[in-house]
Amino acid sequence: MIDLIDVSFQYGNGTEALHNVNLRVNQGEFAFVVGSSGAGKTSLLKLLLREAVATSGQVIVNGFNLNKLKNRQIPKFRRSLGVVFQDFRLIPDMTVYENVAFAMRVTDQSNKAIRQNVPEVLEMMNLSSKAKQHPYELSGGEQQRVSLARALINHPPLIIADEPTGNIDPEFSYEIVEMLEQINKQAGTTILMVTHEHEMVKFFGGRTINIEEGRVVFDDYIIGGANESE
Amino acid sequence: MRASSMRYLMKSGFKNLWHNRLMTIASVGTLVACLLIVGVAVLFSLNVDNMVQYVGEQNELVVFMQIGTSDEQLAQMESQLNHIDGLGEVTYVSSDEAMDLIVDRYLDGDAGLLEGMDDDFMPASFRCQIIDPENAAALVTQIEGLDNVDDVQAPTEITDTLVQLRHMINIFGGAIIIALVIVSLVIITNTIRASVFTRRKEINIMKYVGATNTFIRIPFVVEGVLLGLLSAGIAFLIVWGGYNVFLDLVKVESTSLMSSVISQIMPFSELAAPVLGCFLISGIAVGCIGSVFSMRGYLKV
Repeated sequence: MIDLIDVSFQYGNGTEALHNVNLRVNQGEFAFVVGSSGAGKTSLLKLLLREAVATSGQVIVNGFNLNKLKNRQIPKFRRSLGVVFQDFRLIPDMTVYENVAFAMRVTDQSNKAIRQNVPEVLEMMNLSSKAKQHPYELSGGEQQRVSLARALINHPPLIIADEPTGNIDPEFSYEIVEMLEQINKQAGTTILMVTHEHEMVKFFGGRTINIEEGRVVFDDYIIGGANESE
Repeated sequence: MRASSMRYLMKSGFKNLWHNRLMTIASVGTLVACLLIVGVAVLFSLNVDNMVQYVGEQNELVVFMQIGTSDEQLAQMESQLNHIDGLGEVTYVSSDEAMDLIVDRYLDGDAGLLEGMDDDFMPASFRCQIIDPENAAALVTQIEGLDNVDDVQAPTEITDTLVQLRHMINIFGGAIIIALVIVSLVIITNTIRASVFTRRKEINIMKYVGATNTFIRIPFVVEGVLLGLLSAGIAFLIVWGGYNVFLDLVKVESTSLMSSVISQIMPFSELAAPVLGCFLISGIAVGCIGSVFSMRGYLKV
């Protein structure tokens, strides 16, 4: 699913952001990526989304070798994953329904498929009643659910979430992670969630990858428990 | 691509225009102004071409022979004139014929006044048609150099003026049109860049969900082409109206001297097709190219 082999990444100005990273995330896994800011999480995401290409080593995502991917193949690759951002990136002058439909619209899918899939996903995210509202009428947690619905709409085998709880009140943060876990269990969708909220990782537990100074310093399963965060 | 997607993209293009309506109005205004200048230049040059051609058709030069030139020499001269490139029909006018002409035209047919004059009081002459008025001056010089020629007369003034005018229009018109094309490109590029800027969030999301670059670009190309079409249409209507007003004005004020030339001004119906075609093609081309320019940089990520 995700396979990084000896990956190093340098920015144009010579700063080394990642150093010899080896990482494998299998189909159906749910993994947290943690690390302090500037540790290389953002660079890792850039490589995984093919915003940037590794300086050395191989990055393979969903069977696409991203080092060799040609520019015109990028759209096809991106359709194979869903992305959720910290700042939601919803389009303000579109309704909830339109925001979700947009992801299908711009990937050239039929009206019929749109009319069928969008209500389904909204239902799944408990957003049916909000379909006609605009993003600014919703709470942060609701907006992130819309953005999650948009990431799910094309049924990608992998969802990459970049600090999805960063802009949300704590009480709704857990709801978002629960939803991600639910998607992971029900549909077998692989989920990679980047976060700096250690409390939350401890609460949920599971595979945790810690990146510091461009290296993987910890990669193992931790046991979660509600008691630790209380 | 699906028809439904195509409809969606077209709609987005129209929406962009409406969304940025102030920019739309500003750029349509500028484009119309540019097209009007181009239109005036094109109309002017078409008309001057037409006039030059008309004057050329009327043009002839008259070669007066020296008095006392023998018949043989005249025959030789005629064959020489017939062999000069650039001359059309050559007509010989003998001394007697010239005399008759004078009597007819100026003396009311009363030949008595000229009694006692020599038979060859009037010189023999050749009237020669000039095929291309641009060569008139050169032809005059060439013929003046031939034996037994007394004088060559050609009404070269109007021709010269028109020919020079045509040259000037072609040079200045070309330069102006190039400058205006650049101006229009800059304007359209800016307008669409503004539209791209307001939609940068959408473009960003489109990139992440895997929309192709073509898909992202089409609405902006539609916007550019619409700007071009709109401007072409408006400019055409203005030129149409303006030209007819101009025609009315010159018809009233024309003097008899210039009236034959002015009557050669072409009616708009003859010019409508080339002007509209020129407007539409340049509008669409500038719109397309401008939108492609303005997308550069936004398609990365």
